[in-house]
Amino acid sequence: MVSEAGDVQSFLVQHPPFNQLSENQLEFASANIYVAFSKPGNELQLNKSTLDGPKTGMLIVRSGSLEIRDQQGVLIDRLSSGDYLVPGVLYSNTRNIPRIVVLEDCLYYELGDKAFQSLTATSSEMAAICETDKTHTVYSDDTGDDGSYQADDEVERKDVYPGQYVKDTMSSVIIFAAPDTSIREAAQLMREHHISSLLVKDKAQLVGIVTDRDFRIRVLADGVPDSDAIRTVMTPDPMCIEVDSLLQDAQLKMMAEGIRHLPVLDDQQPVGIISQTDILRENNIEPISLIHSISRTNSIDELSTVAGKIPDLVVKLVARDTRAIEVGKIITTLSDGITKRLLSLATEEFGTPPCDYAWLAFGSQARQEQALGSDQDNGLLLPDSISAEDAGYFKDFTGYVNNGLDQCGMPYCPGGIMAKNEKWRMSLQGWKSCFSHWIEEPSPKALMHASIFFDMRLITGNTELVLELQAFVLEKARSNTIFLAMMCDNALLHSPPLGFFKTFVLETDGDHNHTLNLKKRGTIPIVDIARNYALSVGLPALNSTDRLYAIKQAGAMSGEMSYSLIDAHEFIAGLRLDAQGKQYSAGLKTDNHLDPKELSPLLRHQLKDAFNVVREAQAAKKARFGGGVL
Amino acid sequence: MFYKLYYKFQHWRLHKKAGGTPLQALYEQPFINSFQLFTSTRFLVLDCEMSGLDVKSCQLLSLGWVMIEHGRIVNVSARHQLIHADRGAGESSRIHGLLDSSLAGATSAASVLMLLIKQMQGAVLVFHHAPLDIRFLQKAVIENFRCPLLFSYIDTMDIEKRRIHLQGKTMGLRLSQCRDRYGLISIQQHNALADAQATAELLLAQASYLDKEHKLKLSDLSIRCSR
Repeated sequence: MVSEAGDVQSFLVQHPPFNQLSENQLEFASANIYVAFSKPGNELQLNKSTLDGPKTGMLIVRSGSLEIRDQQGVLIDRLSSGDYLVPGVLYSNTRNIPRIVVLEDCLYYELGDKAFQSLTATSSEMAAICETDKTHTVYSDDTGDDGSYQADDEVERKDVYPGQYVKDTMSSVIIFAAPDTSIREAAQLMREHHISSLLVKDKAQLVGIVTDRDFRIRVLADGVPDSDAIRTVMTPDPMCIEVDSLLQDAQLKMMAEGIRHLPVLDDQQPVGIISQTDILRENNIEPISLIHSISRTNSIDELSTVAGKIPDLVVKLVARDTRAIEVGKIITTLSDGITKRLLSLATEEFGTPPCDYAWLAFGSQARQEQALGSDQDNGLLLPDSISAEDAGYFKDFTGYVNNGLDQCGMPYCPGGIMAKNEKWRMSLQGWKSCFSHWIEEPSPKALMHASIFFDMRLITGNTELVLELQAFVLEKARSNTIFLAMMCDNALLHSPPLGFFKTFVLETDGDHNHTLNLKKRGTIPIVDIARNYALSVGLPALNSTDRLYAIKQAGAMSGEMSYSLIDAHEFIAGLRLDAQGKQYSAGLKTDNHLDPKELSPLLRHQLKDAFNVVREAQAAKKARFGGGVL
Repeated sequence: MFYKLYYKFQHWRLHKKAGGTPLQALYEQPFINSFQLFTSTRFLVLDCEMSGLDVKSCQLLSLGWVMIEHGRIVNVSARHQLIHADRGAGESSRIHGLLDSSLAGATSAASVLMLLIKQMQGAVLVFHHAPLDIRFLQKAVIENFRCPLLFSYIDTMDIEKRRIHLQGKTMGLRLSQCRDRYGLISIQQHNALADAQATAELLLAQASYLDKEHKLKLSDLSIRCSR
């Protein structure tokens, strides 16, 4: 007899968990394999031993595909070549025994139960597949450490683009302190506002600046007590720069003086502060010049031409390994710029609005997480005192802006959540009662559409109106556990696409056969989790990453879980951007679908782990907010 | 129905000649009824490799076989037997990759055939394009034991031919072409065992499509008797 590994054995050795077995174990496994075939539509009955044949301990798909659904018809898993299932595990829930149905002509291997049992007894890899929900978290290396990635980017971003101005890059959030403020108070102030420098003002006069570095060099290193006044450690009469200066002048000045922060003056008054970090970050040439072009346009046509360059920019950013979170922020910044420009164009077109208003962005734009082709979600917040006549003004006004956004690549919202719909142009009182209704009498269906309203951000207009509405919503939501539980239930409808045995469950609808919907199955669940927790703690943060940090700070989620989620979010968003970039470059319409076959095995593995993190977080969330109404 | 008649005739004609030879057991085993269910039948799927297509001048080089029991291929039953050749492998070595050197270590035709006869007990044989394989097999058996084999068999090519004929189409009937139609992936290597396994998979696929409520009978697979 000729010695031959045989087709079965050479197939097994390529697939987990068999690739982990020793040669003897593999031979043993292959000696206990029975090959069977079933045509589409047939149901496999693995719990009954077929006739007198041996009972099946494990089933491995050789070719074709199978589908596992529970009694209610909900898809549990889909198996194709190389995937396996363990009837013992699958049938362990005797109340809801899943059905295994053949999708495509399926040739499969059955491993006899006795052989399977003895393999699990001798191989830990085989034993592990019986515990299907094994958890592992692989992301912890590059968590929350912005330092490293900025350092990488410095290399590429060092050349400053002529024609950029300080006023566009500076941070206009400036915090002042009196010279007599204690060092400790000053440090607390900086922590509170997440800033690295503080301006010292005596009466109306700028007298000095303190930075993180001063605390290190002049306070800690010299052992100065923290009760001393900051006057003693500040840099007096700091170098300043005019608001109209070129960005490169600011950079030259800082480099020449060896300093990292420059207060920005407009007519002798400080209006902002610019740091080296700002320059490095914002020297992403294209976004800045695009924003400039946007602010210089004079018609919707011009604006849409400029907006047409955004996809190119995104492709470049992705190619440059910019973090997905940053890309989301850049896209949103551009969308914000476009919206603002459209609003002022509308004002030119229809005359000055008769009263104050606030243009609100909802959903991804509010969270600063837009992707290419994200549709617009917006509304208008008006003062309570508004007359019916004044309200009429906004009809054409909002129609103009919504249409403009559509032309600039942010398509109309399919759900109609747009300011041009009268329904979403409301007074403060109207919005309040709307939110009250969602929060106090939640119905699952209404909530499904309403959840994006809970991500709300002012684009242009009256800040006080928005602040009042936000405070109202946060307070109301936080105290209503039924609402939170409902929202949680709703969010669980979007489950990560992982099968029972940690394989991908692919979409089968429409044009997107055998793909993963990264947005629906990956991003949305994370966003939902972040929103759910943020509302429960009453956090005003909007961006999912910010929310997750804040949730962890508030003690509502373990650090491990929140960091894992942040990384999973970044990873999935990165893949999604990458895929969109490729689609765009290939001249295809961008969407959120990804064929896992296009991923390298390592990425595929990481993606599975990312989805697994999401699944765990969903389970934790369910435990926290309860399943359904009491 | 001619199957049973012909089997009885062959048995009557040859059983005395088989007495005292290794074939005796084959002639003594009970007749396999055509109403027997597919799932309760033991099949021996066989593929032969020959040095050429002409029975007179060419000979068997190797046999590959695998069993089907309870509608499942029993992987452990797979065998690949090389036959010691009087002459070199000749022209077909280019097709099968069987070189004279590897044939040199092979077993004699008689002992390979005796192993096969043992496995044939109580089993229905399966071939893809049976006539050619059977002609070579019978020639080798007669040369060694002076009496032909008596067995029941089915032919996956026949099954496929009928299926296609019913659909009113004409399509290729080679093994790989048949397998394609059932979504079976093409096999990497060609030797007697790989082809026997490929044929076995094809039979399972055909049976799955012909079957209704586990009632598939051997007559549905047009069982025949050896000549």
